[in-house]
Amino acid sequence: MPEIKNKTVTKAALLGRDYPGTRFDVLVQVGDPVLMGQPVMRDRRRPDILFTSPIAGTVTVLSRGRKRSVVSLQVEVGSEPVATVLDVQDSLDADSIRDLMLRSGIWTTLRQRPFGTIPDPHDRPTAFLITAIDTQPLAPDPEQVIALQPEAFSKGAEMLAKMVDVPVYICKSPDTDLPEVKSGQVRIAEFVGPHPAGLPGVHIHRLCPVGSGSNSPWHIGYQDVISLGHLVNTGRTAPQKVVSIGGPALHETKMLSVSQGASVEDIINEEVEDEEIRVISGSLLNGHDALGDEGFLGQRHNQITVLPVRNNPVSDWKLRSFFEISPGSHITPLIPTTDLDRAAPPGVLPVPMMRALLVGDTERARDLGALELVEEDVAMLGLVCPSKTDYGALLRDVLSQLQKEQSAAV
Amino acid sequence: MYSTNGILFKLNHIDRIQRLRLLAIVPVFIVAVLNTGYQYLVSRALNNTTGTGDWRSRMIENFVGEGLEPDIFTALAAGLVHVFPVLMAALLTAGIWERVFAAGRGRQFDSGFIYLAVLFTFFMHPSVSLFHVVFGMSFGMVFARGIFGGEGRSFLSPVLVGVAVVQISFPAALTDHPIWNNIAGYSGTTSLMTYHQEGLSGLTWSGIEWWDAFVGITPGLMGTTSVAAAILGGAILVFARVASLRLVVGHIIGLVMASIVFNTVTGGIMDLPWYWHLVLGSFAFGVIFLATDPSSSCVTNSGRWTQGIIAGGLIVLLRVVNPSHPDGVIPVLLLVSMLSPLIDHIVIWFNIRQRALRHGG
Repeated sequence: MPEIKNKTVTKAALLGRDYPGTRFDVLVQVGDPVLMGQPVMRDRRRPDILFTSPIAGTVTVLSRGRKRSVVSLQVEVGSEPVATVLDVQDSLDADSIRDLMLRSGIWTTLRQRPFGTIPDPHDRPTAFLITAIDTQPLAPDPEQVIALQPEAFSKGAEMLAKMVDVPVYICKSPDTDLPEVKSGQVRIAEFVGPHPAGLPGVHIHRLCPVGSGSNSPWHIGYQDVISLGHLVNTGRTAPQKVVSIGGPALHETKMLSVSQGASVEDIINEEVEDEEIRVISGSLLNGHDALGDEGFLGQRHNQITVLPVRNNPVSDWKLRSFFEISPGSHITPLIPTTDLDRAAPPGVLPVPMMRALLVGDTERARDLGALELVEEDVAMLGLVCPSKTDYGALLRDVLSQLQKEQSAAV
Repeated sequence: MYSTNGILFKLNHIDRIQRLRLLAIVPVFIVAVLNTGYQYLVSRALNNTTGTGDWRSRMIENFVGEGLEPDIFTALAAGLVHVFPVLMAALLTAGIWERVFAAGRGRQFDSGFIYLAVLFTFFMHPSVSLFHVVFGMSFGMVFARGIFGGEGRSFLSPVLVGVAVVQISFPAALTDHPIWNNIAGYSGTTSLMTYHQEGLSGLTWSGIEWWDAFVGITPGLMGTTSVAAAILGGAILVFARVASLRLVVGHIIGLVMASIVFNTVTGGIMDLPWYWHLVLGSFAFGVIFLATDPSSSCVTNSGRWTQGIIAGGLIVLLRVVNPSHPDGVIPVLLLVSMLSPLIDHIVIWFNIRQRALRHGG
């Protein structure tokens, strides 16, 4: 088992892009001191949902993007780590667990399908999935991370099972040994194979298909389950999470323990020697560039990928430069090679879906199964397609449109 | 190139696809040059046609002298004399149109036309008039590529359209050429006609064994005779996941099934067994290099099976019931290519319906 290095960070942030479709009410102002676990933002439409500060310190930057959406809310670490401690009753029922999750901000780590948004506290899921498998390249092994705090994981899973009255599936690889979870509702689902076998989208497709929106499963990552267990045991969420840091710019993959939303500069500090690098929060397949105001660890990311920056991108065919009389835009088309079938999410016809996304045909995309998908499910299509389109962004546009129509209909 | 958001790699660059295609065509190219030269020497000796006034013959005589020894170097020279001018004419025509459209649209020059010109060359008769090459290639490049916006945006293969237009426009051309009188003009093969008239003994009499047809040392269009070379190239395309194996296998299944059905009806060419259908004419070459063009074939897996089986069956149908198209590959591939969006449409409809049924609306 690799050594896990504890890393102190100087800055951490909440990133708007981790919560697609959410409008925030900011509860603090720049310069305010905040405690770890103190609510700093609120969902405008569902004010029960609170977003809490990952560290204790001072709010330094609130950066806003288009239509004044929150890009990131950054907190600089203070002199001493002080955390809000919540009262946890000895015997928790479903409502009090829900309430505890909302107050501690751990509710915001839940995701629902369709749309991949934070579920509404008043809704009931049709199934609940705990993702304890990660098939992304250079990702940490969930077994090792859970083995650090097995009781917290069991506790968290039991609490989740108590909160919802539907089957709770723990999705894992057959090689992973997990601590026992004492609950009749918990079932184990095993998934084998290369990526995307570890994506919640694949698990949901097998266990509780979303279809045309009639089912609404929820899912949560294994580290967030640990954090919930920690919360129930101690009254405060886990202060740190384990991330792996790896990629072509590093000799070996390292395991680090850092706070939620930690600044990537702090994370890669002392780990990477190369100067010319590009840092990605998440994996190569579906991570985000960690740049500027978004240079922080994403909420659902368990890894940091570091790439060397190459100045000569892909060696172009030499003959081309010979023919290149006038520089013009090179817009490559979608070429439906059979590669795409392997990169496609299960049960989805890749090329018709990609064409529907490219032309923005919301209705057709929905019929072909867009409601089952989020950005990470279609990330591989963009890698394989010669057009290099960001299908995730197109899918998000389609999903927001569908969500808008759905809420208008209700 | 690493971009700034979302997409991180250029894993499957379009250049990779184009390079693989050119690599796949290399074995066919070698066989095409050698076999065309060899067939020229054989036909010339057979028909005793020295000094017919054909410019290609004069060129060969200039190179290697009057008395042509049937060795590999003479065959190579004779092959190059036939393939090279046609290839150059096709390349120049295609390149010019590509350039014109690139300039007109303010796009970068796309080197994909090279592959198209090579394929087009292989579908030409050895003694084709260069005017026909320019005409066919232009038609294909303009009406099946340029006006749609180039690579991957047209619904038909420019090669297929170009060859079809030449076949349709000059049906009688070159059918009674003094040297190449064993090839039925642009449609390519007299083997099927021979079989039609004289049965399997007719083929044996003309010196065509099954293995000859498989390796490709039979008279025919310049590059389409060799099944072996086509399979080699096809293996590259399928392995690199540019071409669909389902589509290729579908064509074979369709062809086998249809020929077995026709075999139950005796008489003339209907007797031709499936293993001869596979190696005669331009079936193998057409299927591997034209039918699998990803942009002009079905995009769903069920669609690919369907398209393949329909096309394979239609090729046999056209071969046995329509003597004016002894080969039948080009018109069938063109027809089925046009059909592929409809097939996909049905597959998508089923997929949507299935999803709705599975989840109860």
